Amino acid sequence: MKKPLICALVAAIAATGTITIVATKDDRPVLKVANWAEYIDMGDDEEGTKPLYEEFEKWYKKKTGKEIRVEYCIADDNETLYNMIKMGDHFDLICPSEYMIMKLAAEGRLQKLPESFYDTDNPDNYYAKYVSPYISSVFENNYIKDDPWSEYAAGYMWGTTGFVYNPELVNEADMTSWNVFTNPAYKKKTTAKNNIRDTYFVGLAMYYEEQLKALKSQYTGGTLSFAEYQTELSRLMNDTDEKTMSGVKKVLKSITDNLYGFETDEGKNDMIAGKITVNYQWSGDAVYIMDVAEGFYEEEEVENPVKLNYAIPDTVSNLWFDGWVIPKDCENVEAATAFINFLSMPENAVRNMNYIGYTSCIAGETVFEDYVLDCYEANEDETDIIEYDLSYYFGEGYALTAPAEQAYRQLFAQYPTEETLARCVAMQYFDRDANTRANLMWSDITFF
Amino acid sequence: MTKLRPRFSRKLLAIPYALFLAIFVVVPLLIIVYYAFTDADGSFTFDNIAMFFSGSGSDSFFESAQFKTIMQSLFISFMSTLICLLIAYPVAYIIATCKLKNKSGLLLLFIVPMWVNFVLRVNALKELLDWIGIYNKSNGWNLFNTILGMVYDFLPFMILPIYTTIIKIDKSYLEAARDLGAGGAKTFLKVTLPLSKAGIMSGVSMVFLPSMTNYVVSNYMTFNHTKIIGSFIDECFKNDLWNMGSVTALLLLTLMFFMTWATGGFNAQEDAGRRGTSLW
Repeated sequence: MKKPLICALVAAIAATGTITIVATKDDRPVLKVANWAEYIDMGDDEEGTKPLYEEFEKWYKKKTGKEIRVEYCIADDNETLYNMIKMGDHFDLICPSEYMIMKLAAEGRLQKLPESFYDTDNPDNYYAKYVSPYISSVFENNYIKDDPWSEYAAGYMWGTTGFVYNPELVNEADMTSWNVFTNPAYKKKTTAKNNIRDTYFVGLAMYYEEQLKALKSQYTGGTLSFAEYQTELSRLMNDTDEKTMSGVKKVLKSITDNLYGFETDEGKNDMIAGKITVNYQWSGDAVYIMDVAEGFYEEEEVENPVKLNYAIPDTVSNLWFDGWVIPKDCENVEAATAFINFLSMPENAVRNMNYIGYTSCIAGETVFEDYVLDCYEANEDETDIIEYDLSYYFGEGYALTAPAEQAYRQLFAQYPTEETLARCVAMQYFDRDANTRANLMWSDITFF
Repeated sequence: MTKLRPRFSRKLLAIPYALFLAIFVVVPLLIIVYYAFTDADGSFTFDNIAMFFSGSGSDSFFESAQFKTIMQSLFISFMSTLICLLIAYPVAYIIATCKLKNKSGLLLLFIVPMWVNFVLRVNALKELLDWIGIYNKSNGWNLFNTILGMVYDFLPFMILPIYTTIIKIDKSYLEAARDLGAGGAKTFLKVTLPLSKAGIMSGVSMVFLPSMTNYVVSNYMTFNHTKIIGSFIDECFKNDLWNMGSVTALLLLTLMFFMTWATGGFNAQEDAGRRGTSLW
């Protein structure tokens, strides 16, 4: 009597299996894309738009006549993505941060972008046509071994790190110094990032305070060229030798008691709720915090909006970006590059920026008018206004009149001034030895 | 007719479990052992163990993060287990021996919190502590809050096994003890407590190991200030140090094995199994 039951069960399982296979049968070739959560425009039913990766399928068919199906995956963070790739997961296009791109490229897990990708004569090469001159110079002047970044990566979003603070609760002059972390005036009121890299950068900036100040005065005094200044900054801020690391460890140990804690995402809410007054933050999230605090997302006008500011320390800060790279095992490079180009169309860049709130690497007339002017141009009746120059990013002649407060707020966080960016450098990946030491050090400083 | 039927042995019922054990326990364990004894290129080495015991930078092992984290974890889990036991035993005893008809209803009160997602509960506890004003105030409070979080989280795991052993104690033993002139306290110490040892051992092992590794609790309760061995392992794997992480996990496993062995945990389980009182 038992057997028929088992047979029936087996049959049922087999049947469901077949059904599932039939249901997902789709002959279209697949482009498997991995990106961060909430990091692409998901469309809006009211406006009749679809998620950009779905719209890409149609666009690609129209352009090339070829079918494609985008399998869009969400990765938690760079480390998880790296572990997935190391375990053999296949992706055609991924969007890691700069240090992970360098690590993946150095380990030979990426393929270079095809040369045709940068051919500006091809009207469909939107990335090559519209990428900001600032981003492309950064991508030309930073190297992975002997190759410039641009050979592997196409920029997607970028930004800096700095302090989000409540100007009414802090002394604004303190906010441009890294010593805010040791300042007893902000005891248990500041947060740092709960990861080794961002916090190591803080430690280095405090450890090398004197050298960084000297470098800056040499640069502003004219004895150091911009390129030399950047090289020197990059050398100091990527120092991982044992002596420096133990110095940094001492510095970081001295700040932990003063800190409210190390956070990844909780800091946003704590900042908005006023639990902390200074939040070390990535510029993209800083914009989000400022927006929420002043009631940007509320239906009705908020009576007493809390206006938070963003400051970048005056000695050095971290320049970061997320970029599209193609893993070694991608077979459809053409579709992968087409996907990058589709996202680089100025109108799509604007949609992404509106949705994500980060700053796109794409510049151009459309982005400037539909995004920058739309968000930040001062109303005609406003009197407290400034001229904000963005020619370094959008090209000769691009500037806008903005409310004066925007020099410290969202506009500054999204598009820092050229002068500020001169002191921002990217951080390399840690090599194996440095990684081990950094991890042990990190465990030690976050241990109480 | 009966001879024609295929023989169905009860042992066959163990096959699914054995398979499960092999795939989800033995194989992962072997993978951990593999990573613990290989380097980044996959060749055999003892370097990972040596590195774990060699300290970091200029510090010796006893000043290193690894050692301090282990000691701190041991302290947290020892305290959590002790407090859980001190709370759970009387609770289990009272529920098991009370005259109420609906004992399981009473027991349910202690189990219901487990139906709510534990991250949610820990988060709620965090907000509560913040409201009281002892959240993230100092390192001492952080340690206290971590232990509080662990106790809060693992208490039902201590109550249940103790309850099941106490309720299964044959009442005639207690009557016999009383007939022979033992007072209430003496009966408890000489009869009830020894007979519920199996439940205590189950409870202890259910609380001790998790509270050494459940870093979600320590991260939430201390705003990432307090590190336990679980967070150390997690960070190793996150930051591409699989070999180091595997060594740490393996050492933790060895440590737990010896502790269970030293406290006679294996024997207690066996006794309990023989009497059919072991639930967990």
